[in-house]
Amino acid sequence: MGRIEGLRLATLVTMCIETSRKDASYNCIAWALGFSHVRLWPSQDKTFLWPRPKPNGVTVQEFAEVFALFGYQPSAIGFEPGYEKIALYVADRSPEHAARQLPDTGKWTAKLGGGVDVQQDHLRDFPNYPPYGGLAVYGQPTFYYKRKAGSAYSSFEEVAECHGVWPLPPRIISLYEAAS
Amino acid sequence: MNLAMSSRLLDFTEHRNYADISLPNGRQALKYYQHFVWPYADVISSPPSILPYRIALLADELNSRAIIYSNPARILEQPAFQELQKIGTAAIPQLIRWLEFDPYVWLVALPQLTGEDPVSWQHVTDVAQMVGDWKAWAVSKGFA
Repeated sequence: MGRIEGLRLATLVTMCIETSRKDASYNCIAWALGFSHVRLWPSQDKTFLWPRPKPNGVTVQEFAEVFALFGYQPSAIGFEPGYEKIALYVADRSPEHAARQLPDTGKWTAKLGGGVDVQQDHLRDFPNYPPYGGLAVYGQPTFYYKRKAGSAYSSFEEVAECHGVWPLPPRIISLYEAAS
Repeated sequence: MNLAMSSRLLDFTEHRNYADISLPNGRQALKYYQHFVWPYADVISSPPSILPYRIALLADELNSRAIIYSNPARILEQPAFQELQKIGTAAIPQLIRWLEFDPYVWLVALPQLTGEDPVSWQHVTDVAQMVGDWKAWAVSKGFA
């Protein structure tokens, strides 16, 4: 067994469970919002979508406003049964990553970029995921948002549609193309 | 294979074509034997290009380091990406092949490396179709 495989096994045993295979279809922000069919980031290219066609930079404010479109409001850290929570990781004031707290168990789930999903008991375990280099990778979980679980929230398509983006009619495509 | 190791191996095999000989004035010299000292001399003495191996190493490094990031800026600031950018279009055919089985990082990197983005807006939620757009582009440009 190689060193990396050993680390991965140790990780599985002690802290972390990989809950999916590698999948390029979605990323951490999409997974935090509960979606597994889009990659979300406020950028101007076609690899990532964003519910708003002209995002206001990669800022915490921009992320907070988009989270609010899906029912998430700012919150404190800590498990509240019946609530889904998102932890937003920030490095140098720039959002880098997000994890979602499950409303029934309080465990945290996150998608590592275009890699695997992982699930852990404590948020503090996420940055320590050894195969990917430890603490400095994503910065620190800094901002938290919550919404009541079990309620009907908008899908990505509904929210994007209400902002005139989905399902990408030719007029909107031309807007995106002009902006990129 | 380690690149440094492979270049040492080439040096060693190259030296096998030489032998110490004694000159009439009593001094030693190296004589080059092209044909019989080592039978593969002419094969090895024309150095193979290591560029494909270098591209493969850089691509592997970039993919393994950057796949965890959602922020495209973090992907594009990786040293391996900068090196691939210096190599330029020679790297494109191999990267198009990577794209097929591990597309995430390359969907971010290829538009920067090529200056083009052939993905159709109608395909942006389907990774397989995005890969298909890139492969069609590579064929049209003579990269595949």
